[in-house]
Amino acid sequence: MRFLILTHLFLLLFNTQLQAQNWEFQFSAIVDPISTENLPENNWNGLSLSANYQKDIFVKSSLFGGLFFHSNSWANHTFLSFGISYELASSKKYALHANYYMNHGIALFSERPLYSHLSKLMIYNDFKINETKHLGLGIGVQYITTPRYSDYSLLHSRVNFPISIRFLF
Amino acid sequence: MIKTAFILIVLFTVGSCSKLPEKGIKSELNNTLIETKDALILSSSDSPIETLIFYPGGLVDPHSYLKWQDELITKRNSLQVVTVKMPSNLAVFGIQKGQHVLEAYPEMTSWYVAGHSLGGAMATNFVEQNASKIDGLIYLAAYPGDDRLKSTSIPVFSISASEDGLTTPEKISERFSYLPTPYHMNSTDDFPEDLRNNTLYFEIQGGNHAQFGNYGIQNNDGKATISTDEQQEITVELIAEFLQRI
Repeated sequence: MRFLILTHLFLLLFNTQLQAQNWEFQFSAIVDPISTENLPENNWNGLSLSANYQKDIFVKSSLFGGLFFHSNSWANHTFLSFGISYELASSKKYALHANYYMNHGIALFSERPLYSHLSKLMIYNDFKINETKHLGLGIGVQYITTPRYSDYSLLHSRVNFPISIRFLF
Repeated sequence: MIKTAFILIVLFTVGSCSKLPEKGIKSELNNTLIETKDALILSSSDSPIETLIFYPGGLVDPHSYLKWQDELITKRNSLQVVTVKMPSNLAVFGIQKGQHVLEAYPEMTSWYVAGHSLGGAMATNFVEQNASKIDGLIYLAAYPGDDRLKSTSIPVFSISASEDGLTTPEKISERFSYLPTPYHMNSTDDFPEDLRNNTLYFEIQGGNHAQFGNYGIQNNDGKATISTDEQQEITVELIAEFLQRI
Protein backbone atom coordinates (compact mmCIF):
# COMPACT_ATOMS: atom_id res chain seq x y z
CA MET A 1 0.00 0.00 0.00
CA ARG A 2 2.79 2.41 0.85
CA PHE A 3 4.33 1.73 -2.55
CA LEU A 4 1.05 2.61 -4.26
CA ILE A 5 0.72 5.86 -2.32
CA LEU A 6 4.31 6.80 -3.15
CA THR A 7 3.86 5.97 -6.84
CA HIS A 8 0.64 7.93 -7.01
CA LEU A 9 2.09 11.03 -5.38
CA PHE A 10 5.35 11.00 -7.31
CA LEU A 11 3.57 10.58 -10.65
CA LEU A 12 1.41 13.54 -9.84
CA LEU A 13 4.45 15.57 -8.90
CA PHE A 14 6.88 14.75 -11.67
CA ASN A 15 4.74 13.84 -14.68
CA THR A 16 2.39 16.81 -14.72
CA GLN A 17 3.08 19.64 -17.12
CA LEU A 18 2.86 22.68 -14.89
CA GLN A 19 2.75 26.17 -16.29
CA ALA A 20 2.79 28.29 -13.17
CA GLN A 21 -0.28 30.47 -13.23
CA ASN A 22 -1.80 30.20 -9.82
CA TRP A 23 -0.67 27.98 -7.02
CA GLU A 24 -2.34 27.87 -3.65
CA PHE A 25 -0.63 26.59 -0.50
CA GLN A 26 -2.84 26.38 2.51
CA PHE A 27 -2.52 25.48 6.18
CA SER A 28 -5.58 25.01 8.38
CA ALA A 29 -6.28 24.37 12.03
CA ILE A 30 -9.61 22.69 12.67
CA VAL A 31 -11.92 24.09 15.35
CA ASP A 32 -14.36 21.50 16.66
CA PRO A 33 -16.46 23.06 19.41
CA ILE A 34 -19.19 20.41 19.38
CA SER A 35 -18.66 18.40 22.54
CA THR A 36 -20.59 16.59 25.21
CA GLU A 37 -20.81 18.18 28.61
CA ASN A 38 -18.55 16.75 31.32
CA LEU A 39 -16.54 14.60 28.96
CA PRO A 40 -12.84 15.03 28.28
CA GLU A 41 -12.76 16.97 25.01
CA ASN A 42 -11.00 20.02 23.66
CA ASN A 43 -12.01 22.48 20.95
CA TRP A 44 -9.37 21.61 18.37
CA ASN A 45 -9.48 18.55 16.19
CA GLY A 46 -6.76 18.39 13.61
CA LEU A 47 -4.70 20.16 11.02
CA SER A 48 -4.57 20.18 7.26
CA LEU A 49 -2.11 21.14 4.58
CA SER A 50 -2.88 21.46 0.88
CA ALA A 51 -1.34 22.45 -2.43
CA ASN A 52 -3.63 23.29 -5.35
CA TYR A 53 -3.12 24.39 -8.92
CA GLN A 54 -5.73 26.91 -10.04
CA LYS A 55 -6.86 27.59 -13.60
CA ASP A 56 -9.06 30.57 -14.41
CA ILE A 57 -12.14 29.62 -16.40
CA PHE A 58 -14.08 32.87 -16.36
CA VAL A 59 -13.30 36.39 -15.18
CA LYS A 60 -14.29 35.74 -11.59
CA SER A 61 -14.09 31.98 -11.22
CA SER A 62 -11.45 29.31 -11.43
CA LEU A 63 -11.17 25.58 -11.10
CA PHE A 64 -8.45 23.95 -9.07
CA GLY A 65 -7.06 20.56 -8.22
CA GLY A 66 -4.30 19.26 -6.02
CA LEU A 67 -3.32 17.36 -2.96
CA PHE A 68 -4.78 17.68 0.49
CA PHE A 69 -3.36 16.22 3.67
CA HIS A 70 -5.54 16.12 6.75
CA SER A 71 -5.11 14.80 10.26
CA ASN A 72 -7.88 14.42 12.81
CA SER A 73 -8.59 12.37 15.90
CA TRP A 74 -9.11 9.08 14.10
CA ALA A 75 -6.55 9.09 11.29
CA ASN A 76 -4.30 10.89 8.90
CA HIS A 77 -5.81 11.25 5.44
CA THR A 78 -4.58 12.10 1.95
CA PHE A 79 -7.03 13.38 -0.61
CA LEU A 80 -7.13 14.37 -4.23
CA SER A 81 -8.71 17.78 -4.10
CA PHE A 82 -11.00 19.33 -6.70
CA GLY A 83 -12.94 22.54 -6.45
CA ILE A 84 -14.14 25.85 -7.66
CA SER A 85 -13.30 29.37 -6.55
CA TYR A 86 -15.46 32.45 -7.05
CA GLU A 87 -14.44 36.05 -6.46
CA LEU A 88 -17.12 37.75 -4.38
CA ALA A 89 -15.53 41.18 -4.23
CA SER A 90 -12.26 42.85 -5.07
CA SER A 91 -10.44 46.12 -4.44
CA LYS A 92 -6.94 47.34 -5.16
CA LYS A 93 -5.54 45.74 -2.00
CA TYR A 94 -8.00 42.98 -1.06
CA ALA A 95 -10.15 40.27 -2.62
CA LEU A 96 -12.89 38.15 -1.13
CA HIS A 97 -13.23 34.58 -2.44
CA ALA A 98 -15.61 31.71 -1.82
CA ASN A 99 -14.06 28.29 -2.43
CA TYR A 100 -15.77 24.91 -2.49
CA TYR A 101 -13.53 21.86 -2.17
CA MET A 102 -14.56 18.28 -2.90
CA ASN A 103 -11.90 15.83 -1.69
CA HIS A 104 -11.73 12.09 -2.21
CA GLY A 105 -9.01 10.01 -0.65
CA ILE A 106 -7.99 7.51 1.97
CA ALA A 107 -7.58 7.32 5.71
CA LEU A 108 -4.02 6.13 6.16
CA PHE A 109 -4.18 2.79 7.88
CA SER A 110 -1.41 0.37 7.01
CA GLU A 111 -2.75 -2.83 5.41
CA ARG A 112 -6.35 -1.57 5.24
CA PRO A 113 -6.59 2.07 4.07
CA LEU A 114 -10.20 3.24 4.16
CA TYR A 115 -12.03 5.49 1.69
CA SER A 116 -12.62 9.00 3.01
CA HIS A 117 -14.50 12.00 1.74
CA LEU A 118 -14.18 15.63 2.76
CA SER A 119 -16.29 18.58 1.56
CA LYS A 120 -15.32 22.08 2.54
CA LEU A 121 -16.72 25.56 1.94
CA MET A 122 -14.34 28.43 2.71
CA ILE A 123 -14.46 32.21 2.57
CA TYR A 124 -11.06 33.89 2.13
CA ASN A 125 -10.00 37.46 2.53
CA ASP A 126 -6.86 37.77 0.40
CA PHE A 127 -4.37 40.57 0.77
CA LYS A 128 -2.69 41.43 -2.53
CA ILE A 129 1.03 41.63 -1.85
CA ASN A 130 1.65 42.39 -5.50
CA GLU A 131 0.21 41.51 -8.91
CA THR A 132 0.82 37.78 -8.56
CA LYS A 133 1.26 37.06 -4.85
CA HIS A 134 -1.66 37.04 -2.43
CA LEU A 135 -1.83 36.14 1.24
CA GLY A 136 -5.22 35.09 2.58
CA LEU A 137 -7.04 34.26 5.76
CA GLY A 138 -10.11 32.06 5.65
CA ILE A 139 -12.85 30.50 7.71
CA GLY A 140 -15.36 27.88 6.70
CA VAL A 141 -17.13 24.67 7.44
CA GLN A 142 -16.18 21.12 6.49
CA TYR A 143 -17.62 17.64 6.66
CA ILE A 144 -15.35 14.61 6.78
CA THR A 145 -16.38 10.98 6.78
CA THR A 146 -14.64 7.61 6.66
CA PRO A 147 -17.68 5.32 6.28
CA ARG A 148 -15.97 1.93 6.78
CA TYR A 149 -14.31 3.11 9.98
CA SER A 150 -17.71 2.41 11.55
CA ASP A 151 -16.56 -1.24 11.71
CA TYR A 152 -14.07 -0.17 14.36
CA SER A 153 -15.32 3.02 15.92
CA LEU A 154 -18.47 4.79 17.04
CA LEU A 155 -17.13 8.04 15.59
CA HIS A 156 -16.47 8.09 11.85
CA SER A 157 -17.80 11.42 10.54
CA ARG A 158 -17.56 14.96 11.77
CA VAL A 159 -18.60 18.53 10.99
CA ASN A 160 -16.12 21.16 12.07
CA PHE A 161 -14.68 24.56 11.20
CA PRO A 162 -11.30 25.18 9.58
CA ILE A 163 -9.38 28.40 10.09
CA SER A 164 -6.90 28.77 7.24
CA ILE A 165 -3.99 30.78 6.05
CA ARG A 166 -3.10 30.51 2.36
CA PHE A 167 -0.51 31.80 -0.02
CA LEU A 168 -1.35 32.30 -3.68
CA PHE A 169 1.24 32.90 -6.35
CA MET B 1 9.91 24.90 -2.97
CA ILE B 2 6.93 23.14 -4.54
CA LYS B 3 8.86 19.89 -4.86
CA THR B 4 10.13 20.15 -1.30
CA ALA B 5 6.61 20.65 0.01
CA PHE B 6 5.30 17.70 -1.96
CA ILE B 7 8.15 15.47 -0.85
CA LEU B 8 7.54 16.41 2.79
CA ILE B 9 3.84 15.55 2.36
CA VAL B 10 4.75 12.22 0.75
CA LEU B 11 7.21 11.30 3.51
CA PHE B 12 4.81 12.27 6.27
CA THR B 13 1.96 10.44 4.53
CA VAL B 14 3.87 7.22 4.16
CA GLY B 15 5.29 7.43 7.65
CA SER B 16 2.01 8.15 9.37
CA CYS B 17 -0.08 5.07 8.58
CA SER B 18 -1.63 3.65 11.75
CA LYS B 19 -2.54 0.07 12.61
CA LEU B 20 -6.26 -0.67 12.66
CA PRO B 21 -7.75 -2.87 15.38
CA GLU B 22 -9.33 -6.23 14.67
CA LYS B 23 -12.86 -5.94 13.36
CA GLY B 24 -15.81 -6.37 15.70
CA ILE B 25 -14.15 -5.53 19.02
CA LYS B 26 -16.62 -2.77 19.86
CA SER B 27 -19.62 -5.06 19.33
CA GLU B 28 -18.24 -7.70 21.73
CA LEU B 29 -17.81 -5.44 24.74
CA ASN B 30 -19.56 -6.33 27.99
CA ASN B 31 -19.28 -2.83 29.40
CA THR B 32 -20.44 0.59 28.20
CA LEU B 33 -18.34 2.46 25.65
CA ILE B 34 -18.73 6.20 25.13
CA GLU B 35 -16.66 7.72 22.38
CA THR B 36 -15.80 11.39 21.92
CA LYS B 37 -13.41 13.02 19.48
CA ASP B 38 -10.73 12.95 22.17
CA ALA B 39 -11.27 9.79 24.18
CA LEU B 40 -12.74 6.33 24.53
CA ILE B 41 -14.51 5.97 27.87
CA LEU B 42 -15.19 2.41 28.95
CA SER B 43 -17.02 1.72 32.21
CA SER B 44 -19.44 -0.66 33.82
CA SER B 45 -23.03 0.30 34.48
CA ASP B 46 -22.12 0.98 38.13
CA SER B 47 -20.86 4.46 38.90
CA PRO B 48 -17.07 4.27 38.69
CA ILE B 49 -15.02 5.83 41.46
CA GLU B 50 -11.55 5.33 40.00
CA THR B 51 -10.12 5.99 36.54
CA LEU B 52 -7.27 4.50 34.57
CA ILE B 53 -6.01 6.92 31.91
CA PHE B 54 -4.49 4.95 29.05
CA TYR B 55 -1.95 6.27 26.51
CA PRO B 56 -1.95 4.09 23.35
CA GLY B 57 1.16 2.99 21.49
CA GLY B 58 2.56 4.95 18.55
CA LEU B 59 0.62 4.64 15.28
CA VAL B 60 -1.84 2.22 16.87
CA ASP B 61 -5.57 2.93 16.69
CA PRO B 62 -6.82 3.47 20.27
CA HIS B 63 -9.68 0.96 19.82
CA SER B 64 -7.04 -1.78 19.69
CA TYR B 65 -6.91 -1.98 23.50
CA LEU B 66 -10.63 -2.18 24.23
CA LYS B 67 -10.76 -5.96 24.50
CA TRP B 68 -8.50 -6.38 27.53
CA GLN B 69 -9.72 -3.11 29.05
CA ASP B 70 -13.22 -4.56 28.94
CA GLU B 71 -11.99 -7.67 30.79
CA LEU B 72 -10.27 -5.48 33.36
CA ILE B 73 -13.46 -3.55 34.09
CA THR B 74 -15.42 -6.77 34.37
CA LYS B 75 -12.93 -7.82 37.07
CA ARG B 76 -12.99 -4.43 38.77
CA ASN B 77 -16.39 -2.76 38.50
CA SER B 78 -15.39 0.42 40.28
CA LEU B 79 -12.92 1.26 37.50
CA GLN B 80 -13.40 3.16 34.27
CA VAL B 81 -10.74 3.25 31.57
CA VAL B 82 -10.29 6.39 29.51
CA THR B 83 -8.10 5.89 26.46
CA VAL B 84 -6.97 9.24 25.15
CA LYS B 85 -6.85 9.69 21.38
CA MET B 86 -3.57 11.16 20.19
CA PRO B 87 -2.94 13.49 17.25
CA SER B 88 -1.85 11.28 14.33
CA ASN B 89 -1.96 8.41 16.85
CA LEU B 90 1.38 9.56 18.24
CA ALA B 91 1.44 10.23 21.96
CA VAL B 92 4.44 12.50 21.53
CA PHE B 93 2.00 15.12 20.16
CA GLY B 94 -0.46 14.74 23.04
CA ILE B 95 1.51 14.30 26.24
CA GLN B 96 -0.88 16.48 28.25
CA LYS B 97 -4.12 15.00 26.88
CA GLY B 98 -4.65 13.19 30.15
CA GLN B 99 -5.18 16.60 31.75
CA HIS B 100 -8.65 16.90 30.17
CA VAL B 101 -9.59 13.60 31.78
CA LEU B 102 -8.41 14.69 35.23
CA GLU B 103 -10.53 17.84 34.91
CA ALA B 104 -13.60 16.07 33.55
CA TYR B 105 -14.04 13.70 36.51
CA PRO B 106 -13.42 15.60 39.76
CA GLU B 107 -15.48 13.02 41.67
CA MET B 108 -12.92 10.22 41.20
CA THR B 109 -11.20 8.98 44.34
CA SER B 110 -8.24 7.29 42.62
CA TRP B 111 -6.32 7.91 39.41
CA TYR B 112 -4.02 5.51 37.60
CA VAL B 113 -2.08 5.99 34.38
CA ALA B 114 -0.96 3.31 31.95
CA GLY B 115 0.66 3.34 28.55
CA HIS B 116 1.76 0.94 25.87
CA SER B 117 5.11 1.44 24.12
CA LEU B 118 5.49 5.11 23.05
CA GLY B 119 2.33 5.88 25.04
CA GLY B 120 4.01 4.64 28.21
CA ALA B 121 7.09 6.74 27.62
CA MET B 122 4.97 9.86 27.11
CA ALA B 123 2.73 9.05 30.08
CA THR B 124 5.85 9.39 32.23
CA ASN B 125 5.89 13.15 31.62
CA PHE B 126 2.19 13.47 32.38
CA VAL B 127 2.57 11.53 35.64
CA GLU B 128 5.55 13.61 36.73
CA GLN B 129 3.57 16.83 36.23
CA ASN B 130 0.53 15.48 38.08
CA ALA B 131 2.32 13.39 40.67
CA SER B 132 0.15 14.57 43.57
CA LYS B 133 -3.01 13.21 41.91
CA ILE B 134 -1.77 9.92 40.43
CA ASP B 135 -1.94 6.76 42.55
CA GLY B 136 -0.24 4.30 40.24
CA LEU B 137 1.67 4.02 36.95
CA ILE B 138 1.71 0.97 34.67
CA TYR B 139 4.06 0.45 31.74
CA LEU B 140 3.08 -2.09 29.09
CA ALA B 141 6.15 -2.85 26.98
CA ALA B 142 7.39 0.63 27.77
CA TYR B 143 9.96 2.54 29.77
CA PRO B 144 10.67 6.19 30.57
CA GLY B 145 13.04 8.21 28.42
CA ASP B 146 14.91 9.64 31.41
CA ASP B 147 15.18 9.38 35.20
CA ARG B 148 12.57 12.03 36.12
CA LEU B 149 10.60 9.44 38.13
CA LYS B 150 13.66 7.96 39.85
CA SER B 151 12.61 9.28 43.25
CA THR B 152 8.84 8.99 42.90
CA SER B 153 6.75 7.41 45.63
CA ILE B 154 4.01 6.50 43.13
CA PRO B 155 3.78 2.71 42.77
CA VAL B 156 5.18 1.75 39.34
CA PHE B 157 4.54 -1.55 37.57
CA SER B 158 6.35 -2.55 34.37
CA ILE B 159 4.81 -5.44 32.44
CA SER B 160 6.85 -6.63 29.48
CA ALA B 161 7.08 -9.67 27.22
CA SER B 162 10.00 -12.04 26.66
CA GLU B 163 9.61 -12.14 22.85
CA ASP B 164 9.14 -8.41 22.40
CA GLY B 165 11.32 -7.34 19.48
CA LEU B 166 10.80 -3.61 20.05
CA THR B 167 10.81 -3.01 23.78
CA THR B 168 13.24 -5.85 24.32
CA PRO B 169 14.07 -7.24 27.80
CA GLU B 170 17.58 -5.80 27.31
CA LYS B 171 16.26 -2.29 26.70
CA ILE B 172 14.13 -2.51 29.82
CA SER B 173 16.98 -3.74 32.01
CA GLU B 174 19.28 -1.00 30.67
CA ARG B 175 16.80 1.54 32.06
CA PHE B 176 16.35 0.12 35.57
CA SER B 177 18.21 3.19 36.84
CA TYR B 178 15.49 5.52 35.48
CA LEU B 179 12.91 4.26 38.00
CA PRO B 180 12.85 3.37 41.72
CA THR B 181 14.55 0.17 42.91
CA PRO B 182 13.66 -2.83 40.71
CA TYR B 183 11.63 -5.65 42.24
CA HIS B 184 11.26 -8.70 40.00
CA MET B 185 8.14 -10.85 40.07
CA ASN B 186 7.32 -14.24 38.60
CA SER B 187 3.66 -14.51 39.61
CA THR B 188 0.85 -12.52 41.19
CA ASP B 189 1.84 -14.07 44.54
CA ASP B 190 5.12 -12.14 44.43
CA PHE B 191 3.68 -8.68 45.06
CA PRO B 192 5.59 -6.97 47.91
CA GLU B 193 3.81 -5.66 51.00
CA ASP B 194 4.70 -2.06 50.25
CA LEU B 195 4.40 -1.02 46.62
CA ARG B 196 6.02 2.35 47.13
CA ASN B 197 9.71 3.03 46.44
CA ASN B 198 9.97 -0.06 44.24
CA THR B 199 9.37 -0.64 40.56
CA LEU B 200 7.70 -3.97 40.04
CA TYR B 201 8.84 -5.87 36.94
CA PHE B 202 6.97 -8.77 35.39
CA GLU B 203 8.02 -10.39 32.11
CA ILE B 204 5.30 -12.41 30.38
CA GLN B 205 6.98 -15.52 29.02
CA GLY B 206 6.19 -16.10 25.34
CA GLY B 207 4.45 -12.77 24.80
CA ASN B 208 5.42 -10.05 22.36
CA HIS B 209 4.94 -6.33 21.76
CA ALA B 210 1.81 -6.29 19.59
CA GLN B 211 -0.19 -8.69 21.73
CA PHE B 212 -0.68 -6.01 24.37
CA GLY B 213 -3.31 -4.80 21.90
CA ASN B 214 -5.46 -6.34 19.16
CA TYR B 215 -3.97 -4.82 16.04
CA GLY B 216 -2.24 -7.72 14.36
CA ILE B 217 1.45 -8.16 13.69
CA GLN B 218 3.94 -5.35 14.13
CA ASN B 219 7.11 -4.97 12.06
CA ASN B 220 10.32 -6.03 13.85
CA ASP B 221 8.39 -7.65 16.70
CA GLY B 222 9.36 -11.09 17.99
CA LYS B 223 7.25 -14.21 17.40
CA ALA B 224 4.99 -14.93 20.34
CA THR B 225 4.69 -18.47 21.66
CA ILE B 226 1.46 -17.75 23.54
CA SER B 227 -1.79 -16.43 22.08
CA THR B 228 -3.00 -12.83 22.27
CA ASP B 229 -5.81 -13.94 24.58
CA GLU B 230 -3.35 -15.67 26.93
CA GLN B 231 -1.03 -12.65 27.05
CA GLN B 232 -3.91 -10.26 27.71
CA GLU B 233 -5.41 -12.55 30.35
CA ILE B 234 -2.12 -12.41 32.27
CA THR B 235 -1.91 -8.65 31.75
CA VAL B 236 -5.42 -8.10 33.10
CA GLU B 237 -4.77 -10.34 36.12
CA LEU B 238 -1.56 -8.45 36.94
CA ILE B 239 -3.10 -5.00 36.57
CA ALA B 240 -6.18 -5.95 38.61
CA GLU B 241 -4.00 -7.31 41.41
CA PHE B 242 -1.72 -4.25 41.31
CA LEU B 243 -4.69 -1.87 41.58
CA GLN B 244 -6.14 -3.95 44.40
CA ARG B 245 -2.92 -3.63 46.41
CA ILE B 246 -2.39 0.12 45.94
